[in-house]
Amino acid sequence: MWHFKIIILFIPFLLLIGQENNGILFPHQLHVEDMEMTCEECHAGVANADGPSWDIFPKMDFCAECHEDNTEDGDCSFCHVNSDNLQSYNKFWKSSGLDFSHKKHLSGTDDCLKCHSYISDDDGTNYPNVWALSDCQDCHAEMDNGPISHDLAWKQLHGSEVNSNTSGNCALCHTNNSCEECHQLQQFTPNVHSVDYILAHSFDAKVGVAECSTCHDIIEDCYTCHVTNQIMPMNHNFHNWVSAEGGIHIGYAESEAELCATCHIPTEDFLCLRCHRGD
Amino acid sequence: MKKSHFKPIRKHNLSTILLLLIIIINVSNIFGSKLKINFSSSALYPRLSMMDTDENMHWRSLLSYDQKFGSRLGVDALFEYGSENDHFRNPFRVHHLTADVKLWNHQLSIGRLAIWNALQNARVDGARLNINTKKLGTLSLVGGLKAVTDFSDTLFTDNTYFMASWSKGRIGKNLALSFWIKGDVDEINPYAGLQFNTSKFGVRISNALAFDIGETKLNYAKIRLSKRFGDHTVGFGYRQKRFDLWKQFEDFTDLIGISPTITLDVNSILSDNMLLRNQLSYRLGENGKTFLVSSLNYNKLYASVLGGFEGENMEYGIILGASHKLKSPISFGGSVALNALDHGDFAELESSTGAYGWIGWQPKEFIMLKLFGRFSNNSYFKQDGRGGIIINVAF
Repeated sequence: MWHFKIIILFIPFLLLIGQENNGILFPHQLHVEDMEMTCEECHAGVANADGPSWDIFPKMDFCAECHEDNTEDGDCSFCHVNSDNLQSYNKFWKSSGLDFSHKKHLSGTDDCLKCHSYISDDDGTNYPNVWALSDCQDCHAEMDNGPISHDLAWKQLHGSEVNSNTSGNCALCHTNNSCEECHQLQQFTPNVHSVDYILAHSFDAKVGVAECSTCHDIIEDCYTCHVTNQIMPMNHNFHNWVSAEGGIHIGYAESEAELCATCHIPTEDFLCLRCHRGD
Repeated sequence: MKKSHFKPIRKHNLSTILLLLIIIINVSNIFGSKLKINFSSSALYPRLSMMDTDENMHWRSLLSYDQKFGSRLGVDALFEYGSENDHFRNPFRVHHLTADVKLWNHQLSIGRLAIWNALQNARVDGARLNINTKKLGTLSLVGGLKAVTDFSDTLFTDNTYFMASWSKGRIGKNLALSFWIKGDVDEINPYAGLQFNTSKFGVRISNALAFDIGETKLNYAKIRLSKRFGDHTVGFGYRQKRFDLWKQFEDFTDLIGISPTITLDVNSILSDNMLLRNQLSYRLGENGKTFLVSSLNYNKLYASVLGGFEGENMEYGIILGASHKLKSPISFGGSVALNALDHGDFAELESSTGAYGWIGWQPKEFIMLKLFGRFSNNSYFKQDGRGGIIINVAF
C-alpha cells in the first residue's frame, strides 16, 4: 500500500518527463523576415483568440499551399520532427496550460512583436522561444490590472496557488517579500480569516481545504498561541477524553498523531508519562 | 510540554532605530531612484488578549521600503515597531531586509530573506544566489541562519539553514527539485523536495513532495488535479502532511500512519461580478472528518456558510460581509460571523459571535485613515469589544 501511494504520486511526474519533442519546426525568420509574411496569414483569427481553446495555428493544408512539392513523396519530416508521431502546434498549445488571451492583449497593442520579438531569430532548428518573463513584466509591472489568472476568484485562491506552484510563476511580478508586505500592511483587517475565526479554526486546521502552512508554522503559531495562552484544544475538555479504559483520546492519537506531537513529546511530557511509562 | 523556544530579549533603543531609518532614507535620496515607501500605523484598544497583561493597548507601525540604485542594485525591507505581544516580544522587528544585486541574468540577495514555497516557509539571515539560464533553468542557493520566530534576538540563532533548488519551466508546466537542511548544532535534518505542474488532456496537475532524508520517509505530499469547464473549475486534491510517526508512549518501534485528506472543490464565475465557491474536504481514518465551505461573492457583498462533522461533533457557521465606497472619499464596510460547536452529549453547545465594522477616509490617493471596531462574544477574550485606528501612507 505504501509503495502504491508513492507510485501514484509519481505518475504525473513520469508523464511530464516522458513527453517527447514531437512538434513542428517552423523557421519564423525565413517566413517573417525574408518572405515578409504577416502574422495573421498563418495565425488567422488570433486577434479574437480569447484563450487556449482557440485554434490559432495553421492546418497542414494551409502549409501545403506553398509546400506541396516538399511533401508529395510522403516525407513528413520536412515539417514534423518525429514522423512516427505526427503532432500539430495546436496540441502543444492546448496542453501547455497557459490561460492567455490574445484578444485582450492585442486590443491594447496591435504589435505582435511586443511579446514575440524572439521569433525573428527562429531558424526552425528548435521550438521558437516565443516569449520571455520580461515580456510580461514590461507591461504588468506598471499596470493596475493583473494578468488574466488574477480574476474574480483570485483573492480567495491565490494562497493555495502560491502553495502549489514552483516559485517561477509568481516571480514573474512578485518577490518572496510580496506576501508579507501585503498581509502585514493589512494590520487588524480580517481579510484572510473571519472576525470570529477563533472558534472555527480548529476544523480548518484539521481538515480544511486551505493549507494552513501556506502562511503558518506549527511551532510559531499553533504551539506558541496555545501554550502562552494556556488553552487546550476543545476536545481535551470532554469528560471521557481520558478515562480508566483509556478514553477517546486514543482514537485521536491514532489518526491525528501529528497534531498531538505539536505540543506533546512522549519522552518529555510529564503529564503523559503518568499513564504512559513506556515500559 | 515542549521547552520554550524563546530566548532572552534584546530590546533595541528607539532612538537607534530612528537614526538608522533616517540614515537609510537620506542615503536613498542621494543615491537612489524609484523609491517606494509604504507606511502604516495602527492602534487597537483594548488589545486582543486571553490573559491579564500590563499593556492594554496594542499598537504597531510598519514601514515598507523598496528602492532601486541604478539598474543592478535594489533594497527591499519591511520594518515594524510595535507593542510587545504574545507573538513578538521585541518591539523592533525586521521582517525582511535584503540587498538585491543583479549580475547579468543572475541575482544575489543578502540580508534577512523571506522564503515561501509549497514545501517550506522560512525567514533566514543569510544569502541567496539565483542563477538563471535559458536552457538549464534556475538554480537557487540559500544559506544562513534561521531568524528567531519572535524576533527576540534579531541577529543570531544557532539554527542553520541551507537550501539548493533547481527549477525549470514556464507557467503551468514546470518542475522544481529542492534539497534543504535545517536544524541546530545538535541535530541537522536534511530534506529533499519535488514540485511540478503540468497539464494532460486539459487537466492541470500540481504536485509537491517532501522526503525526510534523515528518517528515510516521505514527510509531505500534495497533489491537485483541476480542470476548467468554461467559467467553472473543478478540482480534486490529496494531501498528507506527514506519512507516519513513531507510535507514542507505548512502543517506539512501531510506526502509525497519518491520515490523509482529500478535497473536492468547484469554483464558478457566474458573471463578471459574481463568484460561487464550494469546497468539500474529508480526512480519512477512524475518526473521519468532513468540512464543507460554500461562499458567494457578489460585487462587494459576501456570504459564506460552513459545516464540519467529526463523529458526534459538529461545527456550523455563517459569515456575511459587505463594503461600499461613496463618491466622496468615504468608504465603509463590515462583516458578521456566527459559529457554533456542537459536541453532542459530551458538552454543551458552544456558540460565538463576531462583528467587524470600519469607516475609511481617503482624501488623497496616497493616504487613508480607517476607524474600526470589533466585537467578539465568546469564551476566549477577556473583553468583548475593541476599536482602533489605522493610517496608511504610500509614497
